[in-house]
Amino acid sequence: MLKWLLSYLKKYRFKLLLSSLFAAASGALLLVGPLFLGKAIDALTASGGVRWDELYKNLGFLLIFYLSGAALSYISPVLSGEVAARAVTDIRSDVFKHILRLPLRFFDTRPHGDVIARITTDCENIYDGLGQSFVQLFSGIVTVVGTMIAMFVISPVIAAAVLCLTPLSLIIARFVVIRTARLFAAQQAKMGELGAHTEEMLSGIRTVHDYSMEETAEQEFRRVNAELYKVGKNAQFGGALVNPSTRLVNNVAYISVGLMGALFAVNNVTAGGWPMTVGVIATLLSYATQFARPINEIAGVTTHIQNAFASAARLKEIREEAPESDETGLARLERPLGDISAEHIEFSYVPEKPLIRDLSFSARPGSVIAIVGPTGGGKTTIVNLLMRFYDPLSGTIRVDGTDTLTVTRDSLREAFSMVLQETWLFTGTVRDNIAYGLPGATDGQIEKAARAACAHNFIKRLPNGYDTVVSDGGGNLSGGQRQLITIARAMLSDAPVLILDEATSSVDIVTEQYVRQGFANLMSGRTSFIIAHRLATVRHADLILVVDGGNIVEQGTYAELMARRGRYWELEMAGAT
Amino acid sequence: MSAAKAGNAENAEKSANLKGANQVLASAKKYRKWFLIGPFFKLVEAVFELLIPTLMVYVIDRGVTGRDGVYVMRMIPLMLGIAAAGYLSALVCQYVASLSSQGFGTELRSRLFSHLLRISQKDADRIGTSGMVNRVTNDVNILQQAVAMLIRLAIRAPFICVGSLVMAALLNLKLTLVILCALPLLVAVVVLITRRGVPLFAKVQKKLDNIAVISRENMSGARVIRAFTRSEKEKQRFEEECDGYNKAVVRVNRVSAVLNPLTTLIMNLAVIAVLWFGGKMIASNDMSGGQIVAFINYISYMVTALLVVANLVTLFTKAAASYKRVMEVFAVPEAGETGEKAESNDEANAEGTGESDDAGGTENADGTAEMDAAGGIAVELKNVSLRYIDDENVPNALEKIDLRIPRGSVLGIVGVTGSGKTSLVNLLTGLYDPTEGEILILGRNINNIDRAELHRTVGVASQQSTLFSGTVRDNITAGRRDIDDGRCLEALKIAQADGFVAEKGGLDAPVERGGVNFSGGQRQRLSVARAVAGRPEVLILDDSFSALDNATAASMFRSIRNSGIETMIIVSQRVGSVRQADLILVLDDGRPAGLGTHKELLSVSPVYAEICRLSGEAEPKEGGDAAC
Repeated sequence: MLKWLLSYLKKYRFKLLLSSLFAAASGALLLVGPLFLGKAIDALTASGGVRWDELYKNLGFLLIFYLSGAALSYISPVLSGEVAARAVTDIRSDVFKHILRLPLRFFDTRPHGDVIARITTDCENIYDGLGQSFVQLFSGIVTVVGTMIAMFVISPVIAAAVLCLTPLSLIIARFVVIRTARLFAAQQAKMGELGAHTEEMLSGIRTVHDYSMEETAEQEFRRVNAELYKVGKNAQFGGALVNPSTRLVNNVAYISVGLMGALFAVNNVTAGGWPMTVGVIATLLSYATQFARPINEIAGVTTHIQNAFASAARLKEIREEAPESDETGLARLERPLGDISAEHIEFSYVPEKPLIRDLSFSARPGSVIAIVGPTGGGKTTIVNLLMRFYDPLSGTIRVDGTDTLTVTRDSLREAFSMVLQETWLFTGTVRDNIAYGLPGATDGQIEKAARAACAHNFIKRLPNGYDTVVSDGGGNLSGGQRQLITIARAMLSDAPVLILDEATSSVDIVTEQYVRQGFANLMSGRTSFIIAHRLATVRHADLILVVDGGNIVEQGTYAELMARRGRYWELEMAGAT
Repeated sequence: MSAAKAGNAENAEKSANLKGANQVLASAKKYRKWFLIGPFFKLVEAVFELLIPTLMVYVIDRGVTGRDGVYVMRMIPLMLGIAAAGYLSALVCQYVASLSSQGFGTELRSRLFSHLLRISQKDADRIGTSGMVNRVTNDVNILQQAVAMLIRLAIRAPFICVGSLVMAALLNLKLTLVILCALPLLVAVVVLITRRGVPLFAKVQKKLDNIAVISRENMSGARVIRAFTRSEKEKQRFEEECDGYNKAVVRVNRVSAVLNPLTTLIMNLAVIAVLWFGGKMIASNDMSGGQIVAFINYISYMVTALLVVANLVTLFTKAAASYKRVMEVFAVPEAGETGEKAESNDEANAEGTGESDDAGGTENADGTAEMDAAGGIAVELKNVSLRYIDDENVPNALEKIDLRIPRGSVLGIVGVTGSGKTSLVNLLTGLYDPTEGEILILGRNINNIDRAELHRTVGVASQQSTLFSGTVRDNITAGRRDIDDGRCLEALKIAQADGFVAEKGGLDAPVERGGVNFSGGQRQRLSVARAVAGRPEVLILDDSFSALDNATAASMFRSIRNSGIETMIIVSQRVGSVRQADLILVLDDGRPAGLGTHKELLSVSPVYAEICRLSGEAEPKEGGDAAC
């Protein structure tokens, strides 16, 4: 994991090294500061009156240390932050680029929210871990070790006392964290439950209103909310114990150092260290507070770094997903006519469940092929295979006689224009969404496509017409409207093969009739694959493939299939009742 | 700058904000004594903590300089006792902070949720589901955390600062001038950096949101992106956003990294000044060495306390944004909120649930009596128009609809997508208020009918067939206690849903979130059963037959007619579903395009004839079209 992270940092190693050096230097200055402070105080409290030359000299040193310390402790995190931001941007782009090369299986099987969280939150965690924490850890360790050494030199006994006390705060913090972890988990779970209820009720708000279910919804909300209060209160209190507890330990350490130093001074005890003066006590007191702070910081920092590593693991895992097969050296499929054939295709999504067995068919350029059959029968799978979203386990698909595995995927997909059941639109204007099918399309072309898709009428009534921004996921448009835009998008494309996968499933019957005229124009001269569950819409096809249980159980024209009285005839009869 | 805007709008905004603030304050009201007790104990802790350096002065001056070992020994229990007492007060404060912040959050969350359930559909659409859910969950959580941190940490800073100043002044008034100079400088640095940093932080957040949006689109749109071979473009889009993010982060870092070194530097310069001036005072015997040490300590206390606040700034900025978002929602009026009615509504909410049920019951009885007097018209629309967006350029969703539906009749509404069918339904169920015109339900203006009563009078099976998690019974009763199992079963039977419900385990059969364990057709029938179970005067079926086969749809229609429900409105795009209706309203582009029986419309309404022709349902002799 570290190696993986380091590979992204390599580019910036010079800056990182510089940042670490500065951090170490500012840590060292933190050590020297109290020493000269003590000397200055001694110069003040010398028994023979204030020793001015000594005081000025030490104050001069302090001024230099403080100024350079401030400069160093500014530059160091700025540098490391820059490195971290760059590295994280690199990781993010790299992972994203990799995702773009992953097979469709990845998108079909991974929960999308999880992947998005990796690209956003996990990258942030790495930034936090690398940017601040790394340097903090480094300078923290320098400070702690240095302070400890300095204190041992000045007074081994007092140093030993501090060394015994300070880790106590760490132990307390750990203890509290472990004890409250369960409470925090319970709080998280309750929050999740409450969130789910909120989401369910507010997304079904129309129904809640239609049935005046507000109070029922409220009661449930208040019930879960009350439970959340109970665990939340305890979890929060548990978490809130850490700060005062460590502060207590720090105060005790501070008091011990002061009092022990005072006793040593009174009794002229050196105990193997320096003779105690007011200045030395002040130095020790400074060290005592300085010593405790990085220890507390390190405790916080380690969780950040742990998080960063956990996040890095999650990103690395995606980065290591096997991409689609390499395409270097493959030819492009140039302007195919649209002659498509499938020979003995075998395919399954999961090895244990064979789906498509020995599928063969052929389509002449310009013909219309309908694929019909019950849900889950494998209709959409055929589209997945045609467009190489998935590759068959065995068998060959040819376009104009060329095995599709021997050409680049992009060039193959450029031969297809499609309207899918899922009406995906991206955040952008309606115009941009339609132009997705043909980058650089003119406004005239876009409007023509929209008219052919029966989308022009509703688009012109949107708040900003073609410039209306489709919100995230297209939530401000109805399902039917979204589908009409995807149809317009396909209308713009001039690809020789057209795929309509339940292309009008969200559109009402009447609009569908109009759209179909648009499709008729679109289909002329192109090979078209039409997947539909309304049989009436495909009767005119040149070839009807009846797919059930992954196999083509029948194929032929409408007349042939009706005459055969087989599976297709059964489907027709079932629809008619 | 914004103050220059029109005074009117500002006033309206102010009063709306005030209302929101009141809601937030009201949530905190119950805990107001804790909001005093918490900080009080924090103050006590601060005082104890501030005593330690002063005591150390005595230890040094009397103990070390005065060579009094016994005095030092005597100080041991006192100082440790003070540390312990400080710790105990801190514990009290932390507990109070947890209790009150969680209590405040819990209360605010409930209020917000209740409020959101009652705002108009128009506002709900505007805010959006995820906007509403985020406010109830994330935003309230952030506010809750901010309150906790305010009590626990933020209040400490002024206490420590003022306290340090006071303690220092008690030690040596003249030298306090050094601190008095340093303190405003420190505060200014914290404020300045925060002010520069906050908008930059907001920018970073915005960029991160954009990255999330692009990621989401690339996940959900993988097929389309590949089909249109736009991966390269997506890569560019993503990298641009990443670059922007990178720049923003570096800028924030440059600004916020100034804070720690600069404040520390100011503190250290103050220490040098203390030593410098202190030296002169010691020379003139105005000060002791112990006091110098204490001074240095107090200065470092102040800086540490201020830094804690500075580090909380991100949280408080987020909290400010959340507060604004929550206020925004509270400022939205609840639907049907007018004068007194709204007030009594609020009270009912605050009191709980039991009472308002009774109130609804009695009102219902009165209402029905009054309604009976209305005569034979179930629903009447007078010149009704509806617009969703206040924009002159956008045509109305519904334009000048006039309609009278006699009691006991069946009205069909047909039209293509976007013709306004569902908009009309939304008006009748009170989800939206008409922009113009008047709607009368059983003779009463819909605006004067209490929502609960309206929903008992007009039942709707909506297009989405939304089901909630729970049991089939929960879904059919929809929280109404007067619907017993008998009525549930009867409703299921009428909706032709008794068969599959029995198979799944009867009324106790579980319904998963969104009803995913039922097929589309089953969900539709359950949704119809829910509408029928309420025995409404007017039943609206909004596209409730689309996933049903013709035979099931027909028997459902028959059994509803026989169930005693008088008036029905059937919304459909299939002419077949409404053909038998007594009256059919044809909608086209939000305008009425024919009103009459099937036969009449075929000859009178070209739109209707066209719909018939296209769906292949016209009778040959009527249409005379070759296509039929």
